Amino acid sequence: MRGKVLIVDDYSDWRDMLSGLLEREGHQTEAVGTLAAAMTYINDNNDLDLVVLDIRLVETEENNEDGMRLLAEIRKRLPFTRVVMVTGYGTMETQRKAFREFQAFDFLSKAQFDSEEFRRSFQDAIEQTIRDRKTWKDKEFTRDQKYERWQRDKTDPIR
Amino acid sequence: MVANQSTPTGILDPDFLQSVVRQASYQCRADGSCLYMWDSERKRMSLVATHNLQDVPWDGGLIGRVTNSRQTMAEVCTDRCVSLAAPLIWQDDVRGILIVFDENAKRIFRERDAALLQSLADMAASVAQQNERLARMTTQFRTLHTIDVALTSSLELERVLDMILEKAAELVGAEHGSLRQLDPESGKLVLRAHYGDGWTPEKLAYTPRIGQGIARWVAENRRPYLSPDVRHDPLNVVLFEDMRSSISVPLQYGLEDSAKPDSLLGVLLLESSRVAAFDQQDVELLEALAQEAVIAIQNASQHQKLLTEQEKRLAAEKWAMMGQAATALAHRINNLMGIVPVSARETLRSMTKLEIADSERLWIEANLERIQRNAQFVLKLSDALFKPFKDSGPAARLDVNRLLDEALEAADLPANIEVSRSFEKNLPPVNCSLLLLDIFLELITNARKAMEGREQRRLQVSARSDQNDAGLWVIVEIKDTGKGISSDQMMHLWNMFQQSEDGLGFGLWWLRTFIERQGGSIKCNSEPEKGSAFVVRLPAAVGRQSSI
Repeated sequence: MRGKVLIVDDYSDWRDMLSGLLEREGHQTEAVGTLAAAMTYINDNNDLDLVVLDIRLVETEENNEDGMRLLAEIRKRLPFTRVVMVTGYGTMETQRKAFREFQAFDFLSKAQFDSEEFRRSFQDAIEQTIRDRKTWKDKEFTRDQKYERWQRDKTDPIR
Repeated sequence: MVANQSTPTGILDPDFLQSVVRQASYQCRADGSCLYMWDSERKRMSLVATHNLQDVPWDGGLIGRVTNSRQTMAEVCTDRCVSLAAPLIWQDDVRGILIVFDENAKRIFRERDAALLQSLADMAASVAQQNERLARMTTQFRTLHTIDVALTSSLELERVLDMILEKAAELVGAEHGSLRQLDPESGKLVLRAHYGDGWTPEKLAYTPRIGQGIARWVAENRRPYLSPDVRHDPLNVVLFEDMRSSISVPLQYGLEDSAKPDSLLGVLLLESSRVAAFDQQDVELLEALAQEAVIAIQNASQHQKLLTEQEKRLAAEKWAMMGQAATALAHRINNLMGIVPVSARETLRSMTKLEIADSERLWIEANLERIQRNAQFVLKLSDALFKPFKDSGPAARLDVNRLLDEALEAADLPANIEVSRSFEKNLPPVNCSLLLLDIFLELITNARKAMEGREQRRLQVSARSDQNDAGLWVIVEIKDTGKGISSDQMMHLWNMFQQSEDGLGFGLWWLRTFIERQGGSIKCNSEPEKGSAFVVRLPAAVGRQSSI
């Protein structure tokens, strides 16, 4: 399954590395280094499957509010989109926060980055998003069909 | 007794004494007169003032006779002169003798003369008594003032206590003294200051046991104790052989509140080689001094507390600053360095798809592995280096039981380790940074490593509360059946640069540093080949609020 992925990281080498890893598995990726660019991309792409986000970007004090807004925005606009957090330097505390407050799909440390683990993680995340979206569409479709049938039945006089 | 009583004229002005003697001659129309006063140093009556007296015409027995009769006596002396003697009595003791004499041996001293002389003697005695009281009050006042001044100028407890004891001893004329503080934890009377000679290490180490000695009695009854002769006092414990009398007062907050169990701070005890050296007035004086000592102890401990708090705050600020710098640096290193092993590994992965000569492949792979390995080592090193400075974040109320569960889950222990948990129900929360979770994880991970390849693999994790005088504590114990820590390793366990097997040794210093910063402590009990137990003590958070 091909997915659409956004990478947000302020280190260009990591942006290139992560997009390379994803692209080589056939996914369509976009990598940005700032929150503003991330916001613009999210506004234009509501079919996003996965966001890979450097937690430091949202933890830097002056950017914290923006980061929270970005996360809130992702949650609000893209309910299906999964978020995988990466961090340069984190404690168990940040990990807890990532899962509890940010409902992260996974949490990876750059100091012990295992690319195989990352591959498995984004593959799972993208599959889940696509599956969820499809289930939802199928439901909508059946509901629409039921509605149409009901409308038809109502207008059709009983013979 | 007050020190300056020892010289007979010390409490009376010589001019005054001279005028008394002169008046005695004039009033009684005698040829001459003189005054004897008790000299407590030489232990006899001494001549202190004379009028028209060339040499003493009476025999030495006269003094003794008057002292015994305690009244005015007329006598005919050996070389044919007559004398009339009146005792000076105060505080029920004959303290002096006023004598007039006439060389006319036929002269008879009349009743009027006797009454006159006695009234003069009584007047002098009363002045002396007043003077003595005034002198004593002045000395006491001076001493209390000196102590007051010292108390406001010195906040060093040891010095203040030493001085109080020294002044107290000087004031009541004691040769030995001790000031003991009650240790609320053990209930022992710990020696804080001592006075006098002959304090051997054994004597310094002596601590009176319950029900033993005068100091203990005073501590238990919260009342002063006066022992005129310790040789006949069953309560006394002999510390100095030549001591005869003893006086002791309690040091306590507010005398009116003596019933309060925690009001006792300590005991002041003084001894003298003289029998009955102390009296009720000394008791009152020492009680006043004891109040000063209490204030001194309170002030000094308050001051000490403030200093400690200030030090703590400064240290916390320093740590916070270093924490910020370290976090920024560690973040940079991890970002820049973290990408190296990933890149090497990805290259290795792509290599499998390439067709190249085997020798080339081996050479490239070996190089990439070296890059990967060394980069990973640098990352670990940076982690170990920056860990203690980790921005630990603000303190929160934490449920230790839950944190331990989370740490056990995060540690992802292999199935062959038997884990037993014993968590006290309703354990009070602790006020601590969430980094505590990392600490628990580290301890559990260490336990796992210590048990690798061991026959028995059992991890015991327990949490309980403990109440002592310093407050309520939460105690966490993480115990393994691993290879243990040798006494050699134990010596360097908490060092910053502890060489360990993986060559990374930064010891456990960051654990200890962190826990101490949270107001707690950590210790390790270990037996080689049996296992180790790490015990973490943290102050419990008081008050009811929800915890995470």
